Amino acid sequence: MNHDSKHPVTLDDLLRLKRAERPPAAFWDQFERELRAKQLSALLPKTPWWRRVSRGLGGLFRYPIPLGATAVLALTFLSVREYQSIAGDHEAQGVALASAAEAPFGISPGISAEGGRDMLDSQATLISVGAPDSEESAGVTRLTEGTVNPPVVLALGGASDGIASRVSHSVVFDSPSNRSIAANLSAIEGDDMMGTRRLMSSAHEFGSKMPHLRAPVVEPLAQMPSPSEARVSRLLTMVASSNRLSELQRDQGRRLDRGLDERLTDEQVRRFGARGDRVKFKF
Amino acid sequence: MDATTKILGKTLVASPERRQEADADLDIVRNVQAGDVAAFDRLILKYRERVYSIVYHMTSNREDAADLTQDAFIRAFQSIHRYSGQSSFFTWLYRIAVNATLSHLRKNKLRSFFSLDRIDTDEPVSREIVAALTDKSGADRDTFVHELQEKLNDAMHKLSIKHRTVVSLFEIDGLSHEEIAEVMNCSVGTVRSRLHYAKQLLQAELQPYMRR
Repeated sequence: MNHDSKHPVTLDDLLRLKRAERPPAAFWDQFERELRAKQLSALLPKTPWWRRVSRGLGGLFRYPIPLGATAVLALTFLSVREYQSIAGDHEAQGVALASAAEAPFGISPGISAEGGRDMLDSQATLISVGAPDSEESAGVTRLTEGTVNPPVVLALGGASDGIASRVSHSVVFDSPSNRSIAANLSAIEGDDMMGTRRLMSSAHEFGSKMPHLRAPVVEPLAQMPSPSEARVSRLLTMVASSNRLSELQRDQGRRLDRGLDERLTDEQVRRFGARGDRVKFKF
Repeated sequence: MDATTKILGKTLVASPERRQEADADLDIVRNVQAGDVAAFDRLILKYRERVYSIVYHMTSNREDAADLTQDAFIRAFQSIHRYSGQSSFFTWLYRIAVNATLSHLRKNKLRSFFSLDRIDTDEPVSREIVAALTDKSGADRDTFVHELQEKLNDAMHKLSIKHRTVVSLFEIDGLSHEEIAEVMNCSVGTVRSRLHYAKQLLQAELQPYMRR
């Protein structure tokens, strides 16, 4: 520092020196350009925040329609393929399916396959699927087309040995799981291990896809009543019919009590011109 | 009493130059308010160096000062329809710039990055001061000036934001106490008090560079 100089240096002088700090000329050109850009951007209307957010979310949901369509197509394809494979298995195993106007779900004990077929002949149309030879070898007949109320009846018969022949029932089914049960039983009867495995796996797959129908698939024989139960039901039917007879007698006695004998009743009917199918009134 | 007299009566600055300046500014502002957007460019050209100077001396950062000056002009342009002429356009624009700078400094209190402009030693006043401080020449002189500039900057940044603003507006930009009071929205007494305190601190800091 030049302290020998005669010019005093004050704080104001130092601050004046600071005032001499100036940007270069090129700075103002850049300043001008940036200011113009900011002015133009300020003239543009500001988009509200919710519109920016919705635009961002719109970017996320850019492919909903193609994805949804692909998913629907994939589901349809899988469903059709699964349905075809199940139907094919059933046809290969010669599963007999029939419709019946009897109880929609249950097993009629004591009726053989032949008997069940005779019974169904009166109410259902027999449609043979496949060659008769294959039906004979499988020992299973497929019956479809119900009458008025068409529950499907599965008739198992043919071979004297095996679970299916021992069951010897006409089983009335109306659900896919029950068809699967029938297929499994017939596979076991034919000692076709590969077929059994396939059927079991298909039944398992089917059950896994329809969990609400899995319970009947697990224990099919448990649904069949024992012979003692059949006897009990027969006895109960007899008791019920005897009860009905006694009730009719009681009604007749009541009519007699009221003085409405049969002769009087016939007269009244004749007066009104009533017959079995029509009623006439004369004034 | 015309509009200009009213304005200057409020700002307590009634020198003939200021009056003419305020009158001219008001005409331009009225044109901008009437839809002549290009007229605002004249105001930018007229005040950009002064606004930049005050912001630069408050921030000691050239890039920040440029950004804040641009923002101040943009804000002034956007709210020009709200300018009613209660104060001079110059004071109104300064207030916008100073408030934006104070807000910026409060937000970036911990960040202190300086980028200083070069002292123009070709100017007669600065050349005389530098010559009084050193007899060096050439590169040595430039080094001494740079060192002095950094020392001045350090001393300024040892002041609080408000004290620094008062010193910048009064000593560097040459505003009167009344104008500073209007810009900073405080009393003239407060301005004088802050100025006095700030000068004392600066004097203590810059003692080695001063001689009687």
